[in-house]
Amino acid sequence: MLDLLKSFSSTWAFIPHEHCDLWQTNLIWLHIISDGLITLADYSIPVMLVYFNRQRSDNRFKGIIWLFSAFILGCGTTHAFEIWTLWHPAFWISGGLKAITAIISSVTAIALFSLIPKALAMPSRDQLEASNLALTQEVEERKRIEVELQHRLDFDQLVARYSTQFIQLDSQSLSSAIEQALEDLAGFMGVEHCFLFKVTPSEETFSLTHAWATQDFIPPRTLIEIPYAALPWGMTQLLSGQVLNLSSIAQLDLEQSQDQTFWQDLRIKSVIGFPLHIQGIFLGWLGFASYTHEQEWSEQTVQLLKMFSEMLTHTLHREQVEIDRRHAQAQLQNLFSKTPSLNCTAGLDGYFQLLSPSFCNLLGYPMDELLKHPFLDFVHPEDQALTLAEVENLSRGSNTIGFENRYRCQNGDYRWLSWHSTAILEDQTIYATAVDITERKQEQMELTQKNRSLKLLADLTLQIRQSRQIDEVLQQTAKGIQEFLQTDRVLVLQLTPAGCLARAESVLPEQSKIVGQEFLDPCFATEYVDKYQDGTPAMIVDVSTADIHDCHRDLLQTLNVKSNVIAPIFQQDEIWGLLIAHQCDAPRCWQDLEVDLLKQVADQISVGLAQWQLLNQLEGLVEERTAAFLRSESQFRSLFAAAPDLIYILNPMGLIQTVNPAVIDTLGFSEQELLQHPLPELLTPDCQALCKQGFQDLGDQGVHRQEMNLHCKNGSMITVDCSCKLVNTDDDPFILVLQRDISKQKAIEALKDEFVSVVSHELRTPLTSIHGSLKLLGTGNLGDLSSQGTQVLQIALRNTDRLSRLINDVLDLERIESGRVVMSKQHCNVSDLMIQATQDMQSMAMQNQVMLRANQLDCGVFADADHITQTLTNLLSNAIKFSSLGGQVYLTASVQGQDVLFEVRDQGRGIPQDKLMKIFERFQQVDVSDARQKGGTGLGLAICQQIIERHGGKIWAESEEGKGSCFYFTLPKSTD
Amino acid sequence: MTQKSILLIDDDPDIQAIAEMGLSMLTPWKILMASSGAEGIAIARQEKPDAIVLDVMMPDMDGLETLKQLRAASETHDIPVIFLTAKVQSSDRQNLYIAGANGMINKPFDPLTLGSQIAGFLGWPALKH
Repeated sequence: MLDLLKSFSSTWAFIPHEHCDLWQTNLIWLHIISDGLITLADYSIPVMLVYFNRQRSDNRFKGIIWLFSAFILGCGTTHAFEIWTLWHPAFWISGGLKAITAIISSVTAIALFSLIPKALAMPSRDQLEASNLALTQEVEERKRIEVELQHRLDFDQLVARYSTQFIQLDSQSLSSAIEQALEDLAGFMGVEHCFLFKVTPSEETFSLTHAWATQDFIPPRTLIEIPYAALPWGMTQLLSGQVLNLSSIAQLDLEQSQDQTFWQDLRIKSVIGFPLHIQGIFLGWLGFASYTHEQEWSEQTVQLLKMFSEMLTHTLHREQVEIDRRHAQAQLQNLFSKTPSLNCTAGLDGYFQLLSPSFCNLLGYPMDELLKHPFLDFVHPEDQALTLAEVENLSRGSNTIGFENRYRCQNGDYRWLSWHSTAILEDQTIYATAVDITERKQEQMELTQKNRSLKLLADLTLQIRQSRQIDEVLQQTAKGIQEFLQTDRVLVLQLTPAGCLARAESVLPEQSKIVGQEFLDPCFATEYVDKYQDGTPAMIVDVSTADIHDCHRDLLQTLNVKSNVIAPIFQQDEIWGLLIAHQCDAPRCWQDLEVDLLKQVADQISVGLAQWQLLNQLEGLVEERTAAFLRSESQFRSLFAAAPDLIYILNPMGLIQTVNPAVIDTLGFSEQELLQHPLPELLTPDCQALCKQGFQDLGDQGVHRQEMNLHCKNGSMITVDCSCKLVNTDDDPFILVLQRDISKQKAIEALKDEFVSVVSHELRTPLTSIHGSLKLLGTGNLGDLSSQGTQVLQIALRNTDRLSRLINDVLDLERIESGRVVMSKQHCNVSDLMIQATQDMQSMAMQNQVMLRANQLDCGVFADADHITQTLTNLLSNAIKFSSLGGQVYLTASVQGQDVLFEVRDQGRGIPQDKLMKIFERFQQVDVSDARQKGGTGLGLAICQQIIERHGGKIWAESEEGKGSCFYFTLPKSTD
Repeated sequence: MTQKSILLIDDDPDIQAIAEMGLSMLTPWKILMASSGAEGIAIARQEKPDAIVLDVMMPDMDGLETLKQLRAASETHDIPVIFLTAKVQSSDRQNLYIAGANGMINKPFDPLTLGSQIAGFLGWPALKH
């Protein structure tokens, strides 16, 4: 190896290198060309590298590139000397160059060695490409963000700009600004059409208020008004405050189909709407529509537009509020300017804010004058405290209703105003309306004055009428009038033959008193008084200028009178005196009311004078009457005390107030035991119920009468006939009860009944035996009688019949007269009664060959049918008995006013005129033989009379001797 | 046909005689006689007459009381009773009817028509004279 290395450095093997080329031309040329090309390349590479280095100043490998440039230049030079040395053996130079090149190469190699780790650390190409791509994307993202930021910035600027504009602009400019904003937003959103819909007052449709569309786009005409119903889904979204974001109309859900149809009809591809909601009020919505393509709006855009729509909502709401406020204000202004009412607004600070012209007109101030002063300055000083209190109440939220105060007019007068006010505390404003009640107040005051005057007149009249102290009354009268008229003096002057006398006076302390003084002046009797003869009052407004007699003026000036009013007082058509009011400090124009009062009081004094005179006359009369009354009362008391009947006076409740001695004597109770006790407690239980009914009758009819049984203190019982009368005195009604003790009478009646009953039985029983025996004898079954015996038997039979009838009639009459026969009255048909009677009497009529005729009357009477039939049969029986053979008896009835008139007419012998009345008496017959011949008892007509009278009717007879008789009776017609 | 019986109660022997004579003479009835209410009730219970003719005013027990007792007893309560009365007042007659009287014949009565009157009240066949 060492040998090998020595060979290289030894010279023995050295040969010129041309010899290496073997002197072959081609070979030499090959070397020459190759070396030449290498030289050329090696010289151009450094140039490029130097150029590179110079161009890329940031190149981190500049040093190594310089070294490479130097090394390649050295290499190129060595190759150039290879060519050179072919012809010129400058091998030292060539060697020297190679050495330099070697050094540079070595340095380069060493430098490269140190650079290798750095070079290896450098990214690879793929890495660089990836890095480059990432960088590119980042750059793009940054660009996008930058664009978005710019977008946001632009929008924020847009919103900020419009916010400022919207706040500052008036309504009209605001509209333009909104349209400009819509244009800007449409551009921002990249849509063709942008619109603003507001809710209509009906709240069922939206109405287009603002819109913008791109120049080359004509928006659909139908998009002017949208009914809620056209967009059911969209409306729900918007009303609930959500954004209506329809990026693809074509891809809506089924539930949105109606909305989809609506939008598709408008050829809208995408639409987004923002609700305008504020304080729960839905104002409308802001919409953006794309007609050419579908659009997806980013969340950010949506948020930005929501911000804008909120800002727009506030603006629109404020605008609406402002419109409403202006409208209200305009209305208020209109109301204030046109209304005749007195309207105003005022601040709680105490100043008017707005006044209706009528208010200014009423008070007479220009409006400015009223506005620049506190309203309290115009209020009457007496009303200011109340007014202030009322304003305080208003400021606490109360309302004023009918508050009244006085406002000063420019001319100094005051007008009464009645206020109705309310305060809006948010505005610190009082809204008030007033009514001018000045005239009413004046009327009220006049009325009050009139009332006072009437009351005074009434009081004075009462005093005059009630009192007999004439001077005291006149004094009171003068005082009352002086206080009412607020005058210095009121005087009552009485005329005397020589002048006049001051009878009464009421005068202020500073004026001289003249009461009791007599003014001896003859002119009182003539000039002064004459003018009052017609009763008219007179007044002097100002004594100094009045056209009056000198003597009168002198008198008035003596009394320091400046003005007066005078009314005459009359007594029996003559002037008795004068009622005078004096005003001493100044002339006075007396009001009509005052003059009237004076006259009326003077008239009342006149009446009083007449009354006093009359009273004096009456007094004597009254004394006489009182004495008479006392006598009468004494007589009555004696009668009351001595009366055998029981007399009670009860109060309306039935409590005993007074009894006469007969009550105490009869019943045995003391007066104390009876007073204040109910009268019914004295009655037996069965009578108490009757008494209750009696009190009712007393209330209805005022009187009542019935029989009653009373308990006495000793346990015995008495029967009384009790009469009660309700006496209605003005203020103290009472019941007068009169009881007559009929116990003995009742006992006698009972005895009589018993007697009649016994007599009836005891007479009839033997009569029955006699009559029966005679009848049996008459049959012939007990043996035959001679003709004389038969005749005697007939006489006996006839007389027993007569005796039997007589007994029956006597008993009948007695019972009817005593009232023990009760007439059972009821509605009866007249024809029925007549038919019954004629049927009963038909056989008798036929026996006597008398024709019985009767008419029909379909009418009712209120009667006891049996007794009326008995009456009719009795009358018919008489008529038949007294008719001649073949005669006719007529029974007729007719209505005569409220009665039915019955008539029994015969054609018999008639009744003498002197007997016509007597025949109704007992046992009175026209002929004494009639009883025997006609079989009458002489009691039939008496019984008939009793029966008819018990019915409230009348019975009488008319007759013409020889032509017949006619018996009439009447019965009350029944109303059924 | 069984013979009908009539009980005549009257305290007056003359009336009894007249009535019995009249009825016997003109009717086929069996005539029973009693002179007081008590006796009449006893006979009525025993004999059960078809009808009783009763005087109103009698000593001891009057006709009204007799009727009440007849009506109260089961044996006699359904025997028709006709009163002979001198009372003509309607209230008296009304009281007798209320007490259960079947008829009323006034005194003085006609002995010749007494039977017909009784038969009329009781609804018995008319008598042949």
